[in-house]
Amino acid sequence: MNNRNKESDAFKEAIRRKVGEDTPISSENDAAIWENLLAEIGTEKQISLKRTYTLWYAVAASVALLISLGVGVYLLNPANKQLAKNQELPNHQHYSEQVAKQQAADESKNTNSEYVTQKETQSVSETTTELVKTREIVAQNHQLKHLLPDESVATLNESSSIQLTNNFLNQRTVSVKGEAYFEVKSDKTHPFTVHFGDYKLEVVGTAFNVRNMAGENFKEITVKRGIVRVFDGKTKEGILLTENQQLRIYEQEETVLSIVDASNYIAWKTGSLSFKKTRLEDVFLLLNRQFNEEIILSPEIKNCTFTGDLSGLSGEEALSYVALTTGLKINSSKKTIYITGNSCD
Amino acid sequence: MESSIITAAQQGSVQAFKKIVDFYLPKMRPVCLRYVRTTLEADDVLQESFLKVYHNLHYFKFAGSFDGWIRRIVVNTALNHIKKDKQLYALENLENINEQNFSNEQENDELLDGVETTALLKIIDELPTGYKTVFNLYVFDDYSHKEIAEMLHISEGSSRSQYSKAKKMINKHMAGLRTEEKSSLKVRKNSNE
Repeated sequence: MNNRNKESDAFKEAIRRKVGEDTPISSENDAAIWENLLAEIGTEKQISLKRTYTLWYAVAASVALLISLGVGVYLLNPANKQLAKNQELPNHQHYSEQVAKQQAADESKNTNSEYVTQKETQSVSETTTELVKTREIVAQNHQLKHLLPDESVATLNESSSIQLTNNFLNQRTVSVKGEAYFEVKSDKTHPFTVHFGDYKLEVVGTAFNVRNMAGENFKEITVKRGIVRVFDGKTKEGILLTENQQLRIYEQEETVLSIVDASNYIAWKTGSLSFKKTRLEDVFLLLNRQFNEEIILSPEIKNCTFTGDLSGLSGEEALSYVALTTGLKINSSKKTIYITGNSCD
Repeated sequence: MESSIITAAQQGSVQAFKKIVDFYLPKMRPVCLRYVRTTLEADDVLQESFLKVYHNLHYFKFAGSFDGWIRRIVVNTALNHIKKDKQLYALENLENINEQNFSNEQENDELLDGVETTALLKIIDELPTGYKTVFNLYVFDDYSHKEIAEMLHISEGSSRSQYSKAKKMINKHMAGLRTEEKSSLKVRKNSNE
């Protein structure tokens, strides 16, 4: 029975014994080869990253290293399909209104709504010699700021990664796993595209946050500055988001557009967490993200509001401050924290 | 190669990558030369290979040897270069070799003993491209016939038969060297290229 990788026969062994190991062969050309390599690497490095943190390459299962980029096909809805369901909460403008406006405006346009198909990057150790040129940047235990070749900046949250094509200057396309904040340099001739899961968005020049977490049943886009067009697979033309608007794309439910304070959704990056009459449900969502906790609110207080600046506080301090000013009661059992209080409904 | 150097290179250290190139470039040149015709081609293949190494360093997970990983890149790149050589696949058109059987291992060993290494290498080098490629992949670079079949887009059976024919040809030439004082290779040299 032959070992798959090491078949052998007597002749092979005899020849190898006789010839011996390969002797390394140097050449006068070696220096020139290095110069050429350096030149090709150097061009990339000049326009590429100025790392302030060291890169780690994730081995944890939660960050897939061979990213399968979203090969998505739009689920095209008939133009006049009604998106029902009312969630009548303050500050939440329902998606269907937005869609109706856009469809009316864009009915005549006929844009190509197919996703860009990205090939999977392949391990070089496979026998195929086709190497698709993409590059991946991974942040494991630290946040990572990465200067993109077009001078846009992507800041990655911990345990996040982005992948970009090597011809990035011609086609500004990245995909996100985890969470990243983009500050996109304006270039009207080259739209900046971000893929997240099965979806994508396009911008020209703007600043926005993309949250694409495995284990969360939604994707979240928050715009800090500028205009972003998000393609959620339900609208042909995509949904336009502008400053302080947030889109949540749910797997099973309707996409929801909200007005938010975008600064708080990049608190992971800035540390700035300041609320003004913000619903507790949203406050605690952000506190949970920021301090990696799982504080649970009892339903009757979800609509209570909180105003205050929690920047720079620890998780405990922040929790105490909110509870104190909003008249809440904190119950902590083994691992979870329950918050109760008087109903605000 | 120390894993700390590899890791440093993975993290973007150009100095570390240079150490890798300085060490492996000469090591990989003989590998290249088994498959391409000229040292110029070999240098092209090496340059292309090490650029691929640079771009794909992050895929090396320290499972298996780094040497083996680089070697695969080099071999794949070299094969790409010679795929354009049509003769590689002209399997059936090669001359019928005198099917004298040298299957006696002892005879083989004697033949090998009686031939100088440089002469043997020359014999191998002057095999028809198809035979030579399969032979080198199998004997020197340790690929299985299954892997060779995948890489060259031939059947596994074809890989085995080409190897077998290469063996016979080598044995025949070695025998020829022994029976004649002068190299009989000069006569055969141009017949199959």
